[in-house]
Amino acid sequence: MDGLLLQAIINGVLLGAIYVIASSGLSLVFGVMHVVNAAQGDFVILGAFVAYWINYFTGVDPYILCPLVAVIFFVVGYLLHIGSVFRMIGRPALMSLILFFGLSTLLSNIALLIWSPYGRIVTTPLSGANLTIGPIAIPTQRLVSFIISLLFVYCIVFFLQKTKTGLAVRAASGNLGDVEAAMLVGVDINKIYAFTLGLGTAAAGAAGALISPIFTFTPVSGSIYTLLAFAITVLGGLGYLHGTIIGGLLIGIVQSLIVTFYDVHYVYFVIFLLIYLVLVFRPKGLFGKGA
Amino acid sequence: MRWPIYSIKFWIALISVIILVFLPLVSSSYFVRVLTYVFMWITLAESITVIYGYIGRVDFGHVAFFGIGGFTTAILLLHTSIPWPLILILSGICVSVVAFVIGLPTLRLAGSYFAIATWALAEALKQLFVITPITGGSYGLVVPPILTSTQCYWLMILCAVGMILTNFTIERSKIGYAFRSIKGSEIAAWTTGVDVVKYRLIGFMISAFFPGIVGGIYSILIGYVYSYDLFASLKSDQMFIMALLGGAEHFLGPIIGAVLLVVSLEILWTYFTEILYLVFLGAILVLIIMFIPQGIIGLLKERRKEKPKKS
Repeated sequence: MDGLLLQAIINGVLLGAIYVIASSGLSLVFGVMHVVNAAQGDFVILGAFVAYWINYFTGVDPYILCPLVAVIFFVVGYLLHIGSVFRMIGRPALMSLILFFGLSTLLSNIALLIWSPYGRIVTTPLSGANLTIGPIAIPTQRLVSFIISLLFVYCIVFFLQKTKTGLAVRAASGNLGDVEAAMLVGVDINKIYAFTLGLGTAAAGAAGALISPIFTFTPVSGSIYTLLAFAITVLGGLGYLHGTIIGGLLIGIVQSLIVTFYDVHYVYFVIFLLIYLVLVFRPKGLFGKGA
Repeated sequence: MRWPIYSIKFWIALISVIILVFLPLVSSSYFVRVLTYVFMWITLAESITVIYGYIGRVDFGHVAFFGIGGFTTAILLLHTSIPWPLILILSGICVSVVAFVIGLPTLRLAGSYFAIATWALAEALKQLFVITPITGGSYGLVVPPILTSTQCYWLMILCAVGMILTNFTIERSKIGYAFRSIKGSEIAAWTTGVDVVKYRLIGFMISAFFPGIVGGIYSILIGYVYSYDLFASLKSDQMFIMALLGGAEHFLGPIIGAVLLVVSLEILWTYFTEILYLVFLGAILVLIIMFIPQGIIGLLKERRKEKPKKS
């Protein structure tokens, strides 16, 4: 196999894994609450900023900060549900979509007001280091991010499958369970929804912390991540977590191949075409297991 | 059609349009320019009302129609010798055809998917128009200044009036009933013999037509088309917020929303920064959807229902 092609594919896989975290949050929230979080990308960027500033003042590595940022964003998501999203439950799904759309505009521009539009990046001891295997160079940072992100998604899946709260989440989920039945057996639906949204934003925050040393980020680059997260969830099937992993890796590889061999501007067009074709021919995702 | 000459509302509307048409003769050019944008936004907000307010579909990429219209006009003006009124109408038709192609598969899907698909389309077109040579690439195109700004103002009024009349007619016609029945319940609409996808498609094409023309006028007015400006997602947000703020179920709603937002934009933009305006925009959207999802018009209607008439 051609060295460059192999390199591009490996880069894509490493890249895709980071997208997987953010998308898994989106997918989870949709699967359980039937709410499309159009501000997911902005939470990713805010996560990156939180990691950046903690790193700036304490010098702690963003990879170590990742769980802390996730916890912070869990609280943010939980409060967000208590503060506003709960009003959307039971209303048409589009209402919540519009709410999050407004939230996205609000968050990104407040961030712009505070932090100016200049790009930022965190430098870590690993920056620029490579792991060389024959003709292939693997950026160490991306490898670490890859491992952390897979661990994170595995943790979410483990939590959903094995814990009591996870069981309650699954029972309340629109896909797997039944809201009314869950309420009958004593599940506090409002609490579970707040918990789920918290989990979704926590995933976004963790993704942000992982992105901060790899990509330059600005307050307005959130929409890119939202779009990518959408594309990935649509590919994998909305609400189907395992599909999200494959979808993320796929999008990562596609993006990496286009950037390597064509022009970066084609990326969005190809991603749109993918979304369009999947929506038209396989609206339940590539594996047909979405909502 | 019988002219509603006994209706006071009709005469108020007619006289205000006539006053607005003759306004450039007496007022400052800055004021006329602001009004030009007011009419542009009225047209755009009314157009999104067709798809959101009547049919109940969220289109986050409505700016795509505006952008395609702008580029179609610019390219036709530069490369052909077709007279400009025909070019503007052609832009509108071209955009409606695009709406047909996009809508045919996507309008069958559930609402959230449609919203995502339209948004992705607008973003994709933005990027595509940056790389294709015929649209001038990342440099954009300079549009020949064939119309004065006053002429553009009159054209914008024409479009706004056309779009408002379209919505006025839709609300009172068979199509309007079909739209509302689809919004109320898709299944109920099916069972009573409404072809859901067909009517959604008609609505989508209607809502695309005027933004195409307005995009064309805008490109002539600005004199320069550039993908990142014409396809700016902020435009989609703005027209959406205008329709929501005013109330998207009544043709008067978007007018109120557009006037309020353009005026607040002018004030905030002049005295503060653009970013503050955007924060304001996001906050408004969140507050509307949480507290008055039916918009100002809806709120007024509720008030009127609560108070029994005195006579």
